[in-house]
Amino acid sequence: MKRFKATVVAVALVLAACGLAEEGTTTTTSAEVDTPTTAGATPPETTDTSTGDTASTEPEAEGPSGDPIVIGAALPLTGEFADTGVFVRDGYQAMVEYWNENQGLLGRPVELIIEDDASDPGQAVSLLEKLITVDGVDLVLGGYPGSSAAAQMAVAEQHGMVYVSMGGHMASFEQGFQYSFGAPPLMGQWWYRGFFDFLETLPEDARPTSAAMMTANNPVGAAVREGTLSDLEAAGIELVMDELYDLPLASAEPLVSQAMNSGADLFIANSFFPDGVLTIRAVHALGYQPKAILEGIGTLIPSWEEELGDEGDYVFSGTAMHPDLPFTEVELLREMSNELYGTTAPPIYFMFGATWADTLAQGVEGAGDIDQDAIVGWLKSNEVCSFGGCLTYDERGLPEPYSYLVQVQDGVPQLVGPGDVTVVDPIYPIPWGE
Amino acid sequence: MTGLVQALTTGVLVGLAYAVLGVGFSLTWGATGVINAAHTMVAVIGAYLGYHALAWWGIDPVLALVGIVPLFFLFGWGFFEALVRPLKQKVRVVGLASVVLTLGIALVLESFTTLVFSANPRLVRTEYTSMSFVLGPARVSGGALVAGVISLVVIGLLYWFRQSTYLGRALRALEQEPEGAALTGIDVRRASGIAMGMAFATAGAAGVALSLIYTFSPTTFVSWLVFTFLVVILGGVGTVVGVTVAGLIAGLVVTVSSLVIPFAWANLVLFGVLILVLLVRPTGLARR
Amino acid sequence: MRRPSNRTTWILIAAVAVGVALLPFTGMSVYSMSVAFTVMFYAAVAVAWNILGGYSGYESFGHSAFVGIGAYTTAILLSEFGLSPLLTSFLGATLAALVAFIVGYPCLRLRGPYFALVTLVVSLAVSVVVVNLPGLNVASGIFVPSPAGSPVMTRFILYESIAAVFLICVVVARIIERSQLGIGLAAIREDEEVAATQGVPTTRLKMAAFVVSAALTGLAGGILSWSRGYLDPGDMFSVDTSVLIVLLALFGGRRSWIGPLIGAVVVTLGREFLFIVIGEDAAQILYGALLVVVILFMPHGLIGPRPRLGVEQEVAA
Repeated sequence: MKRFKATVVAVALVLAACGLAEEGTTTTTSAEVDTPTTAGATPPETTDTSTGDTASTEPEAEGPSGDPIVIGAALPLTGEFADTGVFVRDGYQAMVEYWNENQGLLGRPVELIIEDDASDPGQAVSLLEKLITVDGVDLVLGGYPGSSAAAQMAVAEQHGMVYVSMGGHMASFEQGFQYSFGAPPLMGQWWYRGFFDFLETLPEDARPTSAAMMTANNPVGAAVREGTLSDLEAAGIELVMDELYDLPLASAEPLVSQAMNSGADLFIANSFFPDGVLTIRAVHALGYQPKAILEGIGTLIPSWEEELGDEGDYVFSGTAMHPDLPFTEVELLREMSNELYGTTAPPIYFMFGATWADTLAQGVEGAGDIDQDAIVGWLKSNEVCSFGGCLTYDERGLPEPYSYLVQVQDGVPQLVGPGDVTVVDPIYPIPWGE
Repeated sequence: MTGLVQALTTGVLVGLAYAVLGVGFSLTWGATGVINAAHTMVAVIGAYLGYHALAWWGIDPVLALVGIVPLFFLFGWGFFEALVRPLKQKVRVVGLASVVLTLGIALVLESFTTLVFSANPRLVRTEYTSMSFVLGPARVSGGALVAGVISLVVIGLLYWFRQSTYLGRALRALEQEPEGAALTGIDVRRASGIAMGMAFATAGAAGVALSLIYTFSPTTFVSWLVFTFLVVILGGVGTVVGVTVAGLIAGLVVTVSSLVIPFAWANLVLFGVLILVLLVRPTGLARR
Repeated sequence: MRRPSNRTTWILIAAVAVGVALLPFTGMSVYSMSVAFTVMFYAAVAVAWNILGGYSGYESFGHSAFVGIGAYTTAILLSEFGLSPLLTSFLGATLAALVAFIVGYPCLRLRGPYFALVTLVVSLAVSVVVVNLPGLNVASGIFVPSPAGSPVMTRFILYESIAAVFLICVVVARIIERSQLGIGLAAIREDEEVAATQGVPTTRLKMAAFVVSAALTGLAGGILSWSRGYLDPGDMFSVDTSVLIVLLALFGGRRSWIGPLIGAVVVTLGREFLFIVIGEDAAQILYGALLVVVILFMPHGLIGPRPRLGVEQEVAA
């Protein structure tokens, strides 16, 4: 089943690439500082016919040749986290197939092995170790979700393998791992920065004065809450409710009721999709009308838009990745997404997967080698521009904190901040009663 | 005061959802001795069917019950004939073996559901699921209200059936006295098959009801199964009233206790209540 | 099957123990030590579970609670205070035993399936308590330092540790089997009412079995957390683990310690094999189908008596 699907995707991408080839051949150009590029590719709109402008001294090759470079990863393809794990895998596969249509990595073809950890972190760890020690992969890519990624970070570190992933929130980057990169990370602690930056642009009397917060009782929720506590303090907003809840949530009404009764005009729900939906519905059912609603990570999955739609309107959230980001190479992902899913809005985790893969590839190309230490060295001393923007990594493997502001409008999570990436303006306060 | 009324209202609605899921499970156990771990997976499939009736043909999931209920009834009866009867012939006391058997079935069903419908979580949206209704000082969402009505209807019909029809009373006899029932001329095989059919039918209805409140995906059956276990241990096996009361208690305990203690501890109060009840009445609330 | 003599069995156990301990020196790869760890962990826990579940017929569906208690005890003591799980896992075992002691009395008043379900609910309650304990930060995840710097040394230490735990479980189980406790438990399994009228102190014996079973499970859990670089509460207290433990013991047969061991080895290795060769979709379907088949045709497990058609056999109380 997996091989069949992979073949279909490969064929589709080859056909797409043939279509793209009409517009220009690929050349290796040095990365311009402002425009993000992907390793070994040219943005389709800049060339029209084949150019002789190439920085490489090799004769133009038909494609990659030589011993394949093998990349391994363990992802949840079945079980609780399968819906997202599948998108990450698609992102990895799409990039590998893209490289193989072009110059490969270091001129060599790339092979991808994805193992299914069935949403079990223990399996995620042992499968990664198997990939490294038994299958002898040259490179590894990150797992999902954060718990599995955090556990895998330790394994990769022990084996001295570069590990590019979402990370396991701030704690995972404070373990002294040298080989890990969050490129970008899904950092709960940074999640609402975009929102609080936005609040600062508002006149003081328009800002909310008090906040009510409910948090899912697990590592993701805890990380988001940690960041929110300091954001609230810095913004001078009083926290009047700070409740935790275990998943699965049976009913959000008691918590939303409590928030409403506290009179808070900023409502923060550090939730996932199932509990997020219950919460939003409770807000509407109970008639709670805060000036703004902040929601956790539920907006990251396609179901938020496809299933909840405009019921979730006006909800703010954060993200490290978005299909409307104005970086040139995102166009490539839109095309891949169209082939794979029939939509030019790539799923966010597909974009994450592609970005992690691309970052690793740039490290490899930059270092000119698959030597893990060389890759680490290169990644930590160069700016890396990929689908999520241009990032510089510190000793811990983290870029500068950032988070885009997203707001659901007409059922679609839109990029509303910061200024340089805004697609539409944010709507604040929520126009209740209109 | 409004806080309390709101908590009571929400608690009742949540409790009814637990109850409608639990009654079929409890009845299966009572009538056939089978602890059907696939019960909630059947409910999830019911939710999927209702969802797609809406998505593909614009039929409201509640209306789709007209098709789902009879279909699931037949499945349940077939399930009994194909799997439960052979099992009962092999082992005298079915208990643990049935858990393993039905768990295997649940896993297989889950895999198929994922293959057919994908793992992406779903949500049912109709005109009334986003509406808000006022009940005195309390407010409820349309979805929860309709789910509550479905639950009441299902539970009510089930109760009426068991009290007032020959077959219903035969089933109750079967639960009380499995050996004796056969001696009084009850066709045990047919009665058991029908009991299981009805259990599956209620599972399908429960799935649709729950889908009006909760999101669902193939793996949701696990958490629904835990709710079900809770309600049946508390309420008793083979009883409609016991399970319903247990469901209501469960819902109310959580919503009311969260008025005074942190929400995360409300679940513990529920577990505490369960353990207390069991110390006094090991077979659950209902008289056995 | 003719039972081997007492002395023979002990010699056999000792031989296997030595063999297992020395196996890594034959040049086991990191991965195979990792697989062996998983097998031995489940074997240990299945044997421990069986002391209550198999010998007395009280099948607990909440044993992951004890795994979790042991796991978090060692994890927190290691990450906060640098104490080695080789020592602290015994504390974890004690805590697990304590919890079993507290919940045992109300739970063991229930029989058969009721007991199964209530233990499941109790394990949920335990997980809620542990996750919400103030100051321990269980909910936000705990990073556990690795036993050693190199992968080989790490896997070796973990392997030997879990092998030791496994050995302890087998030895304890076997001693119980042959003791007054074991005979009493068997009587309870056959017919508890009759046993009680014959003067068997059923409550005391059941409690003893429950507490010992929990302690050994906690011990194994303590080593499990050491093998994970990161602990997520949802994973440590999962219902899936509880159910799997039951299935392993059931699969192998429940009357002696050998049954769960075989069940654990066969099922765990089988699952590894399935994962890798067939792919998870098909593996899950196969696994589910396997459960169905095993139950229909071998309800007593691999080494138990096979039911003869037409003759009724009792499986469990």
